[in-house]
Amino acid sequence: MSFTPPQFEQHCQSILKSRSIRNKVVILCEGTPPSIEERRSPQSYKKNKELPDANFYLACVPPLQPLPVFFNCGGRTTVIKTYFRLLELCPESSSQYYLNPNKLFAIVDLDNQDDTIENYSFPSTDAIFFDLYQKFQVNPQNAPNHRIWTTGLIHKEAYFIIPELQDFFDIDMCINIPHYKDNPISLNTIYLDMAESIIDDIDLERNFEGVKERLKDIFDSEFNNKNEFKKLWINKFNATSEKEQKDELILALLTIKKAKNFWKNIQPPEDLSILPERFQEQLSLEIARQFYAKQSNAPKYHIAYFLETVQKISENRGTF
Amino acid sequence: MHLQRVQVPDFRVLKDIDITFEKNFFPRIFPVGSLNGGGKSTLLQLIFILLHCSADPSKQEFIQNLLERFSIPEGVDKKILATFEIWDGEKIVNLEFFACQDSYVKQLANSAFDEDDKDISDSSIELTKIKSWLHNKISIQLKKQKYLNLLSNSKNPQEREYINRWLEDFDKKEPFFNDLFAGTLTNNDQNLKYICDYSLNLSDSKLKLNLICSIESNHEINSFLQDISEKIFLAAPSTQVFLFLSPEYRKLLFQQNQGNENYSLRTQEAKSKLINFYPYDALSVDILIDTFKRRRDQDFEVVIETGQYGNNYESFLNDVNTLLIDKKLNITKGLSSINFKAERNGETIELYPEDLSHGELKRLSLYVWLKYSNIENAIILFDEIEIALHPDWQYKIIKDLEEWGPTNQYILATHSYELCQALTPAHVKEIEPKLLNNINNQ
Repeated sequence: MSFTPPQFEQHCQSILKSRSIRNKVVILCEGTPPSIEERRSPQSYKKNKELPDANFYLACVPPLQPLPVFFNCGGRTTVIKTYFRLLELCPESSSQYYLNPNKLFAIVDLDNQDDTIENYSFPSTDAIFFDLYQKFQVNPQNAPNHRIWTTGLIHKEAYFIIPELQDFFDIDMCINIPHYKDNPISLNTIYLDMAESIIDDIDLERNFEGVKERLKDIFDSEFNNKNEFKKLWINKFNATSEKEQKDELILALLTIKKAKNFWKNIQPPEDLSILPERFQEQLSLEIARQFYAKQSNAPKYHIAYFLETVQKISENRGTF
Repeated sequence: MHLQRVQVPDFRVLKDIDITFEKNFFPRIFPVGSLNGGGKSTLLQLIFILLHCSADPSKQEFIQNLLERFSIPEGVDKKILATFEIWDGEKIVNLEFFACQDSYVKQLANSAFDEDDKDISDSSIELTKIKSWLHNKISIQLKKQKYLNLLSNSKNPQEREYINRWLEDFDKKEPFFNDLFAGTLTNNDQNLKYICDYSLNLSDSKLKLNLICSIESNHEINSFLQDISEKIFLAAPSTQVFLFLSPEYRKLLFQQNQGNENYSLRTQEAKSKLINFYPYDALSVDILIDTFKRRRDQDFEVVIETGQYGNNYESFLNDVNTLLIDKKLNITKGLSSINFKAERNGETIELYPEDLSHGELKRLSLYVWLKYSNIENAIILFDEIEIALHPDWQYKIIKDLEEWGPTNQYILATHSYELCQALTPAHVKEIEPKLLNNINNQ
């Protein structure tokens, strides 16, 4: 969704004037923004056609941590634009608004296309990514320097299928085990399908030179194009039995290959009468609540680390 | 048990209500929103009273209070009040509650029994004989009227004595007749149960109507209504207007307290009869103290069996203190009050009520109620659960409910956006405001 200039101003004002953000960490993220005119109520929430992106992140917050307030701001560019506009409108000394600029953060999808950022300590989304992550983990030394974060995997849906979730699907979700291709979910099958489909991925082809850099931690210059990468990845994946190496290969794939279409193919078990779309969004909330919210803040859990870091930063530098 | 669908065509502010609560959604927690006065509380109370009270004649007064304005249009002998689709764990059970005129009951009764008209000359007034006369409610009432007429005209002392004895006996046994009638109308083939009659409280008329429930399932209706009555719960703020209290008691909400005549006492009185009704304040001390006592008794039972005290009391105490995080709850020696203590700067200090937030106390009460009342596989209706809870806790209460009673279904009448955010938009149900045309027509 894109805003007209007046709508964009109205969107920013509605965030600034929102009473719910007082003394809170505010995180801007992607996702369809709610109607500005409408009061927040169960009825207005019900009108969302699908689960807002923000709600996945919110459900990842550990039980004892204060809840930040998330705002869905549209696409990645609009999220970033909103971040800077809010800072402009609300200098630290402002007493007109509920927002504390020191508590303002943003998280955007990494995606394959780089997005430039003007007048910020990092010139682009890729630059943020390379500073923030190292070997698929958050770099703890650099993390406090970031107000705008990118995801460590290509986008939010990639976090629904990380290797550790196989046990969650098999054990925690055993009553309603998700299905993929008419069988109980096997993440390895999904990874291989994702790798196979690289060949048809126009977005990846267009941006391949840029994203190659993300793979340098585990691949030397062993490939020149996406098709060579696909073959190499599948060969290595099939040849490797060592868990750590296999997980790295998977995370490398999830850093460049979009997972959304594969997630959409996750189905409820046959005897569970529920629309696949409803099942997928409920499953994503369960993943957030039952898995991510219970993980330590180890750097390999990007979202948990992000949530804890922004909380810490805001507590140290908060002025309220 | 899972309430899958409720339909209410026309009851007080509720018009054309048709809400589905999908049993395959996870978690099975469903917020219900509406505008103020939109009927959320009315809906919860209607569901609770019909499903909790229909099996037990001693709870009829609550149904009768609730239905005091539920009329039937002229010329119509039956009107549907509510239908429920309930998943019993294996199959769907459909219940329909409808109000009807006496004439409709007569038709039902006639189709249920063989004609077996006894004559007045039958001198026996034994119950078994009366039962055989009792083809239906209409006929017995007509018979009474007939006897009254006879009495006023009869000169025969023997006949007069007989009629007087009959009438005296009838008056004594009338309540029992009604039960008997209800019981005899219940028939496996028809799957019907006569619940009760009720008086319409209308300014221009005094009409009695009947409430009947029908079941579509191979369940026996009495046993299913008994099962569901044990599995349906209502928790609501104690200051809520409860439509199942008598109109006189409801008016007490607008009156100054006058000794024993106050709304809170009447609500507590209703609670003592409606065992699955939980009117809550910020802190329900009773439930905490009762649980302490029960856990103590359980420990005592263990010592009788094994020679060593159990750890029920201790584990309960540890459990609630874990929930409170930085405070400690304990009960005084006389088991009549509780206190809270906290560590502050290395010292243990006693906390005053004002040191504890309403939300914290409410969360504690709900936790104890759900976890220590053995409420499992139940349908729990919560009215305005968010009251007194900080927005963060409104969000977190969904996770709490999921953890504290994972086998239950929860239906939450709410205004809270924060609470809904913990679920998917499809979980949220709405009682939509009616279009102006509809309101005008009504």
